[in-house]
Amino acid sequence: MIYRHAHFIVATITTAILIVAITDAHKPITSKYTYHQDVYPIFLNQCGGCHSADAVAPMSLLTYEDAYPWAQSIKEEVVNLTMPPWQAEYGFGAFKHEGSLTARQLDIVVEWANGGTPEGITTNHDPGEPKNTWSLGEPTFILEMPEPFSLPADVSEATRHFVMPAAFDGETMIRAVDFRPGTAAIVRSAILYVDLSGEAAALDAADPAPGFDAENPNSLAGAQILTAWLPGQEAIGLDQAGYVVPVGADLVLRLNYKKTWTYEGLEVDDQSLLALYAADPGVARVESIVLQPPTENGSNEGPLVSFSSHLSRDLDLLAILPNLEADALGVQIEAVAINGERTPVIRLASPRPEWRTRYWLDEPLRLTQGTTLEVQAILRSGSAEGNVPVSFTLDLLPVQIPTAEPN
Amino acid sequence: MMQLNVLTALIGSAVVAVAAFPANLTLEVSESGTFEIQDVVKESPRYQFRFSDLGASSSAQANLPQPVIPSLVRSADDPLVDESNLPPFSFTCPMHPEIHETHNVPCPICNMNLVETRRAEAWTCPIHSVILEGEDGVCPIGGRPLMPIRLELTWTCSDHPEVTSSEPGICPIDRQQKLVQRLNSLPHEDHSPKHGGTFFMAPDNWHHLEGTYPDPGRFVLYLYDNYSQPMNTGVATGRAVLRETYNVSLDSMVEDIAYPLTVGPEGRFFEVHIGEQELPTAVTAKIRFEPGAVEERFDFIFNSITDNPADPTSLTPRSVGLGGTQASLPPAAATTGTLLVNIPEEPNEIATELAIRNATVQNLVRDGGFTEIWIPALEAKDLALALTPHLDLLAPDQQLLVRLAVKELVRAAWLLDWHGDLGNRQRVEAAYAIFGQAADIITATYDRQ
Repeated sequence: MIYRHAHFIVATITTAILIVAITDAHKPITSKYTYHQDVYPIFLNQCGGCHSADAVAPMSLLTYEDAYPWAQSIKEEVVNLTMPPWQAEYGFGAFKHEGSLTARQLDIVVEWANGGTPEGITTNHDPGEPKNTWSLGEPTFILEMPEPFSLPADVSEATRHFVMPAAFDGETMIRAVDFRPGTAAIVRSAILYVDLSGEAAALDAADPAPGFDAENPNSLAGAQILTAWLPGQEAIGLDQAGYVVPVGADLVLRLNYKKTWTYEGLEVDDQSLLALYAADPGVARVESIVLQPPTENGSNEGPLVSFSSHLSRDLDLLAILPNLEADALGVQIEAVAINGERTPVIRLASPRPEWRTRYWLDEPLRLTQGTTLEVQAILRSGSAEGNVPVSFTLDLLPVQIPTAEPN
Repeated sequence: MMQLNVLTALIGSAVVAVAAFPANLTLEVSESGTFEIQDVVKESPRYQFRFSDLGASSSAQANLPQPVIPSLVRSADDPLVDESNLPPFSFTCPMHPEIHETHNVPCPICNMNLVETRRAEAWTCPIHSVILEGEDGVCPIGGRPLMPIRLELTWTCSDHPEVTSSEPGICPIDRQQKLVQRLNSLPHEDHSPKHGGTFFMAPDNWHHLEGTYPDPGRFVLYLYDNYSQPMNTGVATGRAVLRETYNVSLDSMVEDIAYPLTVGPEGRFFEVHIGEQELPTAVTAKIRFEPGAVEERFDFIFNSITDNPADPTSLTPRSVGLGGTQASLPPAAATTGTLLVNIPEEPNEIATELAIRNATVQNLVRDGGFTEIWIPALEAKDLALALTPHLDLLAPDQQLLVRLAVKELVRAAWLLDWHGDLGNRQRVEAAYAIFGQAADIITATYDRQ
């Protein structure tokens, strides 16, 4: 005679609010896709940059045990297109390293999450390349934060600037920047910019701790941005072109820290690393131009913001860095040629202002003289607030006009 | 190339808002000492009465119609699971049966210690849930391919159902009898209606409910828990809304005709007299499962008086206008099952089949057959995916358009499957807006080939 017993003490719980998504793991297994065989490759390639152990997302998706309890959340986020958080709409312009799921990938993930999350044949997946190599190869310069920065135990979110020690001999052309966070779990974004004013160095000297705090330092406005990194991104390099770092300029690293729940209440150190790749001195120089609404007539009224800019030269568009001060339902840029032909450049649906990154065009887009760049944005109501709500920093190369051969 | 209006395109994906987080669940568990496992598994704070297996003697229980298959006892000479090769023990949380671990770790949701359980694989028919086989095959009643499910495996005595054991053996009460296998369904195994009505799951993934129109003018609503076991109305409240109209000055829907739901005898169901209605009639139940919880909406359409629920396993015609190609469809099921659609060779034939499914879905949305939408919707998305390898036969701008439409159709099909099961007309219609537009784009492109 055997009665099953469970010896445990049931504690008194008066109210337990369950915000965690309740999983569908108890459903019958009806998915023909399994985690190890079908879903893992998608999670690795499309999600693993953020959703791996000790990375910036609240959970890893790279083991079955970590992934399956989140089935309901995974299903919701994927079906609603909020995850992966690639914000440029597929098909409106073409970009390098596009991060959206294809139709089939979406189908596989949702069917798996909806159909009982079967594990499949247990496989030890190869973790991939070791993390100590740089994806663009051996860098020209490696810049490390001079000292580790400690995010105090009682602070869960902070933006901090660090002047990076860069002893360049004279003007330097930089064709690529790669970033490796010290403590990946807390670094949400990284921007490296060029400061010609000396303001950053002064603020840094004035602050006893490593770096300095400033929500929007003057030195950042209008500065040449060398990289706008988000977790999971691979570095992209310019071809036969470079960003100019003038003599005497400071390189300032702006880091956005935010703790995940496992680090809440703990003091966390970070000492992040940058890899810079120099270009040959004679390469084409990238011009960064800001596309923004005219400020005089206060055209920031109402939810619809539209403005345009007329190009007076032939330019190749390489990359777009959106600057969103306001919460928008959507923003887009179209290039309108002289003959009226419209070319889609970029469209962001429900972009998140804090997730700011550079979108590299798959191929440079030739914009001929006389082209108008038209920007339209629909803001969520009440969000204009007097700041310039929407602007874009465009990385452009002037088109080299071959000089006539002398006879 | 069809240009989507800027406004529509920009707000399109942002608008399908799905607030599918579960309603707050309140757990009240009393402090106690050692429990028999049966007590813990069966008694949960939500049960207003003690609840045990078929054949139990509780008087409240005896009056309830028996659910279809919460638990199935096999005879001694017909076990489901081979006893020389039993599945190993695993661990589950008595409060959160979806948690299933190989070791006794604290429950990741509520931190309680887990309890031992054995899970067995079996095969069942999506329609006839009494069928339970140890192997893949077809249903002996309808011939439909069986689908795999997981069940909890315990042992009991056929004459003494209060006995529960985690091992095979001899009945402790009547030592002449060998213990027989009993298989208990796990939550969400069973979405079939028990009273011939329409069965929905609530967005909290825990409550279930079934709406019926058993007599002219009488709306009856049954509540179920996460095991799809009937439960008392308890602290739930709600109303039946027959008509809502849009009020311009308030910029919201206003209920014109609504009746509070009254509690039936012994709390076994809600009922309300809505006046004899011309059929088909639409009744929206707005329910708050707990005081202070979000009010959830469930849209029922009755095309006829609901059939007598005396035989819950019968395929009672649910009389929902189908307009589709299926002769008979299974009742509420939230999963794809072993759905297989025949994919034609030629892309324009695939597009034609897709158009047929779109028409079926459109009719089901119109007629309120929400719980059947999943079949043509998921068939349509498989057809759409099957077009992908043929896309290079199209002109480049058409390729892009169809590729975008395929992705929108796939995600909208899953939204329809999800919201169809929740019975929320507004969300179903919002999902169909995406699905229908995508299907039309694909069909129109291939019509021009």
